[in-house]
Amino acid sequence: MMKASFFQILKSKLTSGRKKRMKAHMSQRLKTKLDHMGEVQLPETLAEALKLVENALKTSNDMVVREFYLGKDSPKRAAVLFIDGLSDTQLTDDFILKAGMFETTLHDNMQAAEDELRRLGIPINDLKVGKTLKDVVNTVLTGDAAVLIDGVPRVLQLNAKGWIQRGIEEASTESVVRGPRDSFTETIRTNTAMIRRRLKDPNLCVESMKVGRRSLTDISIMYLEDIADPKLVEEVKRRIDGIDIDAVLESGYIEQFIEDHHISPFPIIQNTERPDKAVANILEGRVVVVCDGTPFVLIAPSVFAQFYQSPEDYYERFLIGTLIRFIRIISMGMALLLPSLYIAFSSFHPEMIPSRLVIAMAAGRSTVPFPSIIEAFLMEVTMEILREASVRLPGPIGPTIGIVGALVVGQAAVQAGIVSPIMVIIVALTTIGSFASPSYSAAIALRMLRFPMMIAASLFGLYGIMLLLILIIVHLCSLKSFGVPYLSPMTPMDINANKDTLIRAPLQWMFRRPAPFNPQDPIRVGDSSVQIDKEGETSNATKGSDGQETK
Amino acid sequence: MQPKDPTARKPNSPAGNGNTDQPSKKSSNSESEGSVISSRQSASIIASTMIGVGVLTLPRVAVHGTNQSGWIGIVIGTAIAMLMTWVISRLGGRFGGQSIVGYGAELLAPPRLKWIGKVLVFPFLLLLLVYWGWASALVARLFGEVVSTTMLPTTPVEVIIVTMLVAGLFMTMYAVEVMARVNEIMLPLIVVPILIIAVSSFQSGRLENLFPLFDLDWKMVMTSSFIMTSTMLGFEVMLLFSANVQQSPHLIRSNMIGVSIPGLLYLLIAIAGISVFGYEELQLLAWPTLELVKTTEVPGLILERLESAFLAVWVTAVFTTLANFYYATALIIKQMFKFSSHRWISVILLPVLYWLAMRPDNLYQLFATQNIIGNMGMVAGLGIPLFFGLVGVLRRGKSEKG
Repeated sequence: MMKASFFQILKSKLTSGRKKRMKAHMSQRLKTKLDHMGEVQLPETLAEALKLVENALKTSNDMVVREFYLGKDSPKRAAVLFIDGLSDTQLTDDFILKAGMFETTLHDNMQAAEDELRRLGIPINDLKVGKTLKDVVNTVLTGDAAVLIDGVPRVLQLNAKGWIQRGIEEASTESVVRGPRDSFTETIRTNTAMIRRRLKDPNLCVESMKVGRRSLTDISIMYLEDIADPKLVEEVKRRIDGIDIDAVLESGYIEQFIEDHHISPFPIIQNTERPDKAVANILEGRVVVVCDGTPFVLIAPSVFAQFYQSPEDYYERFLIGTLIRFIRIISMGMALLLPSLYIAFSSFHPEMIPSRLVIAMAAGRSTVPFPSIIEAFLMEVTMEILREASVRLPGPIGPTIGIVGALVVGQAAVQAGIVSPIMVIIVALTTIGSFASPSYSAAIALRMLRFPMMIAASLFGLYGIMLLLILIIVHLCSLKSFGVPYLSPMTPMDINANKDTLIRAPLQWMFRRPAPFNPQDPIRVGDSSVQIDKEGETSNATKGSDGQETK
Repeated sequence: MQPKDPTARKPNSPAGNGNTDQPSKKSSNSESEGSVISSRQSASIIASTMIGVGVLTLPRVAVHGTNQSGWIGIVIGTAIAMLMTWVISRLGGRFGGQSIVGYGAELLAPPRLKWIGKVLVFPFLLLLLVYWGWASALVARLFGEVVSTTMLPTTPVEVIIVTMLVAGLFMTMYAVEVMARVNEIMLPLIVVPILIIAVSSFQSGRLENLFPLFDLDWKMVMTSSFIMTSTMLGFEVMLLFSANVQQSPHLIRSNMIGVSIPGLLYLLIAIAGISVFGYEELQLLAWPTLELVKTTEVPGLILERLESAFLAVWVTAVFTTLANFYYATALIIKQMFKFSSHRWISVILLPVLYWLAMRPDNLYQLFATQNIIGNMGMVAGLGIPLFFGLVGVLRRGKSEKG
């Protein structure tokens, strides 16, 4: 508690009563219906087993139960269970029913030999054998097919997943000019495969967990075993393990449960829907958390600098990458500061504006009946409404409302004398600036902070802006993401990692992975990577030819 | 949505830098929070504490008594500050993990009677405590005066002082580690603008104002150096924060750099002030550096009349000084009386500091109080390191003999 911030102390004081009430629940993880099912062993006869399952899934009309005779020589009664829509019916027909009825020969004492069950002539690669009611229900609910056999108190769990899924499309929130076009989808296996496809390293670990008492959402934690700090991996697992919630519908749930600071406008954990970005982060020693049901994967830990960095910076040549990064930093500064600077200059420090401009500004503002803070608030809030509305609007109308909002309302407001023309310019620049950030969640933080900034500017002018900026910097300095200071590598300073912070140094220079993440294997670019000399020949080649000459 | 395991929320530290992180529960009771300050951060703390309100009055104070050769005082003052920083760093290095509160008592205690050391060191600590607290209050007041006269003429000075103190309070709510990071990241934000102002104001300077170069007597130089050292104060916070500094072979070197950054900046500003205004005019200006900014024109810049912009940037310089002193005050009280946390202390300190800041009735009294505090700071910043350094040397000799 001592190291906790003021807000954390405050929060703990406020929520202590609630905590006490929650304690009874917190002491033990809530038991679910499924846990109880785990204690029920399957009975021997098929009829009883089916009765149990049907009782457990009473009103699941989408469950298909098909009884059949298993084995072509000495058939036994059996049943296949699956959920219509989650499992591939073609597959269950051809490879479970057909194979089971006509091609399988049954061993005599299958009850004794579980291995015999595994070798059953059903041509499906992923086969498991379970014992309890929970195994049956779980299998069915995850989209697999369960096969129950009369006289055998076991269940065959056969991979028959096959629901309709979205194809791989272009990333909608993080589009780039140069770079791969694919993005994650809602299916966890597709996503982990997309990462694996880019990283054919045997050290790439994919650890699976299930989160959510009711949703039982699949989660994969991906990292490189020989790079990622084992303590970090352990911590991520520990925090995810600590989540006890009924359902996890999006990775945002997990993000909010495992992040270090809840009361902060800044995102402590990064999310991305780009596989290349995820892989790049894994390679820096970070951990990626893939969550089923969402194309957004989480990257932990993250630092502030990541929120103005785009994968494209690395694909373009370094000068261009660096320049574009500068542009992004400037535009994020604009998104945060422009309206408040306008307020400060126009109402506190008009002497700082050049005289010609001040006359023009005064002429523009002469008809405006409000103080500049009201004017700015009006426009900024309108802009936020427009932006929110255009997200909600059906596809083709979105851009239209943008034009209507920005052009018509802006122009009309100026002509009506409600806002000054300069204010319209500033609002437009602010909005554009906030879109230049490659990370949506970081852009939201700046969008949010713009309003307190405007209030500070209206109260104390430039002094207010500076004061709030200082407070924001202090707050940023206090943040940590999984033990990594949020402002690293700027503070604590790490020269090597700074090659990829404000600037993006040539790839050859960034021969070490950023130290703040404690990589086990620090070397990124090896010494032997080919150096090109000025004549355009590789130095290795010249060395070779020299060697031959001396021979 | 309470977590199942409350400790799951704690920002645990699997990937910190070396030993920057300590288990949070243990640190609350022990004197220090572990070695969380890197040597670069230590230098930043020194530099940004030193650069403060003094910048605005510096050229006037510098020429006091030594006329056009005022810059010599700054050079000597910097040298003295460096010497003191060296002593403090050595003491901190010898008693790693301990601040003046710990090693002071240890140094003064006769063998087997530890409590005598604790009693003997108390007046020294009290001096530091009063000096730091009062200095941070005065910094707030001086800042408030400047801002309310130049930047925000209609805002009452009380409001500015309160906002500044509250901002300082906000920083003291966090761990020492956070304070170190704040200083590290703010130092360039302080140094670069002041450097630009200092360099670009040379355009209206006249070289003849600086001549004759060495027209002075030694008495004057001594007084001037003494005064200039008092404007260089701030390095003495390391008496306290050295407990949290990671010991490294570069530490002393980087601390020296930390002192020399403000030294160089002050030298530039003083020379610029003297060469632009001449020493006679300088003595008539209340805020000569601000006047210096007014004479400066940066060609091609969109903004005119840069003094508001300069003051806005200067807020960061004042903030780091104020907040560091504030932090040091709260921390030394915590360590002296073995409180568990410095946070409530700094909340309680807020009205006290405000009262101290509002005590001088006018600018004249304010400058008079500043002098008193300056002298007090000289005793604290020069006397204490020298005294304990000397005791340290003597006792080391004794222990080696024994």
